Amino acid sequence: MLKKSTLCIALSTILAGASAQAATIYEKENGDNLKVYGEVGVGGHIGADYEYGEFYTDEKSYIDDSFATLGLKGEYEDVYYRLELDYERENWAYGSGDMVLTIDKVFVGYKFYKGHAIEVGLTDTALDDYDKYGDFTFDTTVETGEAGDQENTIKYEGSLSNFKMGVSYSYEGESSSGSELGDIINGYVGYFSDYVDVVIGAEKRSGSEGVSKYGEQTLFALGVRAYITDDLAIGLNGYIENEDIAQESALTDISADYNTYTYSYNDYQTLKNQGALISASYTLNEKVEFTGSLNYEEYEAWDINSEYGVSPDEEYSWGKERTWGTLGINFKPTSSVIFALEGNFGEAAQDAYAYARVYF
Amino acid sequence: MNKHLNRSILALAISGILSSHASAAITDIIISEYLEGSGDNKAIELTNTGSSSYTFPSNIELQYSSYSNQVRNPAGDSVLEGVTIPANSTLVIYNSASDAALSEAIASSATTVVAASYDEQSYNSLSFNGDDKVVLIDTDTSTTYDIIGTDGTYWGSGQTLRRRYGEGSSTPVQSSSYKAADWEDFGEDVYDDLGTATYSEYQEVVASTCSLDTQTTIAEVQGSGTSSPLITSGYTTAESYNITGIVTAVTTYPEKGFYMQDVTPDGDELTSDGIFVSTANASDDMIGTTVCVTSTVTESYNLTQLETDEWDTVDETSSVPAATDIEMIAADGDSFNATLERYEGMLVNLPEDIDVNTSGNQDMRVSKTFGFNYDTYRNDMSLSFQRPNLNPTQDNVPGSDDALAAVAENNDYRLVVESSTSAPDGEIPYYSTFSSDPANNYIRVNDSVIGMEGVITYSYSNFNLVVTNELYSSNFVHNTDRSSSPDLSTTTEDGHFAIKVGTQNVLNLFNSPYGGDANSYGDNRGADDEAEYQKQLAKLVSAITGLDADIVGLMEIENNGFGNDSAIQALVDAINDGYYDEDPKDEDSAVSISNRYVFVGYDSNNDLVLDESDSLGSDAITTGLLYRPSKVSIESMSVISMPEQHAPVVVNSANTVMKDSTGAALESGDNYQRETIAATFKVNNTGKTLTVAVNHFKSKGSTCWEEWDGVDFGDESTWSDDAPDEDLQGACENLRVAAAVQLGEELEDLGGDRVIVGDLNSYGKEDPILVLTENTTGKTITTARDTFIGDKPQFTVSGAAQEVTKTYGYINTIPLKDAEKGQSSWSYSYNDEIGSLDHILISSSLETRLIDAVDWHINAPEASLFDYNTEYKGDDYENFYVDDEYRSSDHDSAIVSLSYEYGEVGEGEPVYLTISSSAVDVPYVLEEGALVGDVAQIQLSSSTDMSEVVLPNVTITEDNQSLVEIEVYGLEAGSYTAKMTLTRDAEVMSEFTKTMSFEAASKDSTTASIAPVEEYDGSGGGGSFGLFGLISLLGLGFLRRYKAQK
Repeated sequence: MLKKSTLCIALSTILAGASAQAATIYEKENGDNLKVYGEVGVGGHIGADYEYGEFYTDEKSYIDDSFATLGLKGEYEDVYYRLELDYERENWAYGSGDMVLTIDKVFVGYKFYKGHAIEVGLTDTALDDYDKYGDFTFDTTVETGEAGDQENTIKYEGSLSNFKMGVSYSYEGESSSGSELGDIINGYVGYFSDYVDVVIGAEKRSGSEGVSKYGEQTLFALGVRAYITDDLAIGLNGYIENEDIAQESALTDISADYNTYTYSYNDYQTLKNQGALISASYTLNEKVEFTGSLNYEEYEAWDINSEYGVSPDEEYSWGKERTWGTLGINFKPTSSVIFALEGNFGEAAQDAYAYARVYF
Repeated sequence: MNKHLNRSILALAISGILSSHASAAITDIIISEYLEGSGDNKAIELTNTGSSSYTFPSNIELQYSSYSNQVRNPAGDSVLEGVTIPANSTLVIYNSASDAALSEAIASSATTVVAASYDEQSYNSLSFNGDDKVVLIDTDTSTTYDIIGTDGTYWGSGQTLRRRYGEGSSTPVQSSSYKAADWEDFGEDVYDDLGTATYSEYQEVVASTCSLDTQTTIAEVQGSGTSSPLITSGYTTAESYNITGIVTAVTTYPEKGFYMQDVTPDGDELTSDGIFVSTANASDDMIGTTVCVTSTVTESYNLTQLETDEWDTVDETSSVPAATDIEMIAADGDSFNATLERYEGMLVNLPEDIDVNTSGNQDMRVSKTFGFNYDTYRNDMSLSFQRPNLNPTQDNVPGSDDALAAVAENNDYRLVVESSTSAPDGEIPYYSTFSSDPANNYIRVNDSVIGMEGVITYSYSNFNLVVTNELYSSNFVHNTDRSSSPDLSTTTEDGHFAIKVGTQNVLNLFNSPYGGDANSYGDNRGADDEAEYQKQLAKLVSAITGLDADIVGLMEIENNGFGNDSAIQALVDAINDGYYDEDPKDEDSAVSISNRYVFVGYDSNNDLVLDESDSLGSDAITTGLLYRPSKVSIESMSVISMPEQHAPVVVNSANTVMKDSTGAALESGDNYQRETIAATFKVNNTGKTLTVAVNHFKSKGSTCWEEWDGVDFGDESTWSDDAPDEDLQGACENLRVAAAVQLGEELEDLGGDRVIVGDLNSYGKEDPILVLTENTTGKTITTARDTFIGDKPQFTVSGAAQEVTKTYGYINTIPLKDAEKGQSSWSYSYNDEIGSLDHILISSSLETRLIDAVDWHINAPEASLFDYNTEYKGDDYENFYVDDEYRSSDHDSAIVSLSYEYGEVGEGEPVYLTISSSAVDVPYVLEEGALVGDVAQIQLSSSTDMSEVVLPNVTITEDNQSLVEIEVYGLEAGSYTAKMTLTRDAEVMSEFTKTMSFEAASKDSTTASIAPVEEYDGSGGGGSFGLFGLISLLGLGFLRRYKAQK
């Protein structure tokens, strides 16, 4: 049959490199420790298409996606903590395009019972850990729009037998571009076995109540992995989202330095978005791995027939839904280095994604 | 006796005198040939019959038509000035666009002058077409030296007329009156004699052969039907009849001639005793004489008439019979046309009661007041039997049998009132005091016209009355007279007060040319000069002040933003100048500053500065909104984008774009309408809010795509016909329906109490009104196709027209109240029909608050002569202008009154009280039973600092007093809870105790600022939220149930 452990190592390298590699600063006999970890990556999006709304500029066909992470993590008995800094390019829509240094994680955790822990601070929301669970590719696939990292978050995670669950609550969350989202609660329940893993997730946010364009939102997510052979795994990832977006806005204030414009938002209407992908991973040998995916995504804002969709004059080239695929190859000369190349076909936001990452 | 013979002898004598002159004078110049040919072939030949040459001075002109158009050369100068005609020679004046054959045919000996074509000098070209007189005239003395033709009848079309010799082959002489017998017609485009001083043979004037022995009465000619029984086929009898009558009138309109009546009427009321005799030879001195006419009988466009230029005067001593009162009889059925038919050709009087068999007085009402008539191109007036004509879709569903019946009734009831001679601008020929003292002699729609006399004729498919007597103000009874304020009830229950909401069209108030900010369209549709602008402004101030509304919606104000020099600011400033009394004790005075208005400002360019850049929508005019901060306070405002149409351009069967007569696309498919302003106000002294939306829907005038749908253009590429309008709603009703849907939906989203005001360009029962109110008529209502809100399709991407089944339940207040008063609603006069385009609709939530609603008839009933313009009013134009409200616009104002209770709370909202002069009047509404001497007291609680607050005791001044306004001094803005008690003999009367939460706030300034945007409406947030919400989402709701069971 299969050996899940081999594959899991590879996946964890990709998905959570920080946990795979670390330099130990100290480690006591009772297990207390302090470790430094990180990642350096260079690469980017080739043939980027601005129309897809994923990139900050229409001027470039190559969008740099360089990235570095440096983190400290440690444990004192049942208490653990982490400080993680990211140096990243704000290359997403409405981003600045500059490299910026951000604090990605600052939290303190407490393992209050075996297999059960609570974290408080700036951390991943619960669902963030599993929003891409059924996707074996690096990038450029359907993304579940959950809350990601949030400040002022309290998160519980626990496991029991083959089950694992997590719930988090974030006070006055923000979008990646800094817009208010209101309070956010999300969570997941997962079943994990040697043959198949299934994670269902959900998120709800209260909305900004007129402060930003984001209103209430409800999100359902699903991630599945099926391990067919030792070398081959199939994944399924998908989401359904109902998101309230303001249809009206009015400027209410301009700061004295003319840098900050404050708007009042109104007339929130519910837009439905959904997406899904099937992905696969095939391990040729220790150093070479192939990945692929087929993606489908549908945003109501793209739909000219929706009252709240784009106007017919500005209809997107792909219409109200898009499908695309990826094919990739990962080359791992060592367990801490990965070179990845993913090519896209269909209605994709780019032609290819190329990357080199070193984890430490 | 034969008058014509006498005249000929006289003419001969004059000619003998004139011909003795030694040298040529103007009196030697005659019109000798007239050519009205095909196309632009027009020519006049003048002959100098004198013995020496003659040069025309500047004051001698060649003119044509009733408008005295001077004939000019292509350069714009008189064709005659400085031109010399040698003795016994001719001058030929011909149109520059004439065929070459014409100019080449002119004898070489002649002098020629080229006159302008129409393209060159418009009406001052040589462009007569056979129904215009042509005269040789001295403009200094207004002396007509010679003439050919008469105005209004086609006497010369396609004819080449050559002057005949005088009696005894004498040289013809000038004549100031036209006699057809003096000219011989050679047919169309006959050029062979142009330029030669030759004349046609003299034709002897044959004496009339009218035999008194074989007579036919006028009654026999008229018969009892709609046409003469003597005509058995075609439109004219084969034989002539001898008919004698007394001449009652000589008129030049619709045609030159005279009217005569049987000397002894037959007494049969079914037959008319009068008839028209068409002749160019009629003269006023015939009136009252008895003449015998020999003529065939003709039906000329449904008018029975005789045609002859000859008659015998059989009695010069007879006199005009008294005018006959028009009277409806049973035989007429319901047809007033049948009544008039019985009087065709007669001298009649309009009596106080036309239908004596019906109770009350049925008289003639003014349906279109005196003014320009685009059918006849004359200044005239239109009357209607019993009532002014209501627009057919005012009370009837468009296209319904009832609407078509209303059209038929309007046509049946119509009587057009004309003057014999064309009425000059600003003058009524039969009502001289109208122009000399118009302020006291105005004529309004719905006036009863009593004692007007004239002859009944028929023209342009209508019966006409050509007036023969002089009229005075007593002949016009004002049933809907002028009033300086609307007749609106504001009576409320005790402890209540009225809020008034009005609508006012400001007739294109443009101040940009007179110091105001420019509009971004470079357009001026308003006053032509500063003086006109000031007059316009003064009239509008009078109108808005008279309307006295607390909230006023404006239409047609210049779209030049909201800056200090905007039109709306200029209007508000001018209105507020009339409210100058600053004393708080006088706040109920009509001139108190508490009546001042402020406009609702919209920051359309979103720069947080209210200025000239903040124009609204895509038209040079826009809507506006004024309110009184003493009565309401602005809570928020928004602009509702209205649908625009982007349909395909209209093409013919060959897919060629159809053009109109100007060469522009007949219908581009792109049609726009003005945005709607919606503002939500807090009603001061209550916790209620009121949203008022001001509208100006697409007009009926220019077409939309739907008008041309189904029109078969064939392979024509130019189209000058009007678009069909089978359902009688005018153009673009489907786009207005789309607007009604958009308005209904958007206001439904806003919720609360709503008022729709403005010019919906829809009469009472038209589709958009049915959509906004209710449609119980079964009528299928559809929107326009391809409508967009901004760049989004309003309904579907396919753009298909939508059937509208949802209605919005508004109450059309004015017809509702008018029905209770037994009167019709109307706010606009078009042609000779009136109806309501200006409406005030209220949401059903306001039904119980409705006190009254009225049109204020200051404009629609009035002649446009009373407006601010100076054009088309004649020399006495200044007589018409008064800085009052009458004809301040073309639409009437309208106003509604709504009742509110002092201290009334809204849905969870505190009562809103304004701070004025550092004090707040807290309303204390008392149940019945308070007695003089009782003392009202107030206690306040608040987190706001109240250290300066002074709480007074107020003594009741009358038994059962229902309201005490407790003036609390020193209150700061904030939230308060008041407990109000009534004390009698030091004992608190607990049954009167009341508590009230209120918010005290500064009164809105009368200096405009940006209106707040709508507060967060609660959408997109505030739903159920929490851990268990998420657990439920994860399908783990059982956990919650478990917990709940514990």
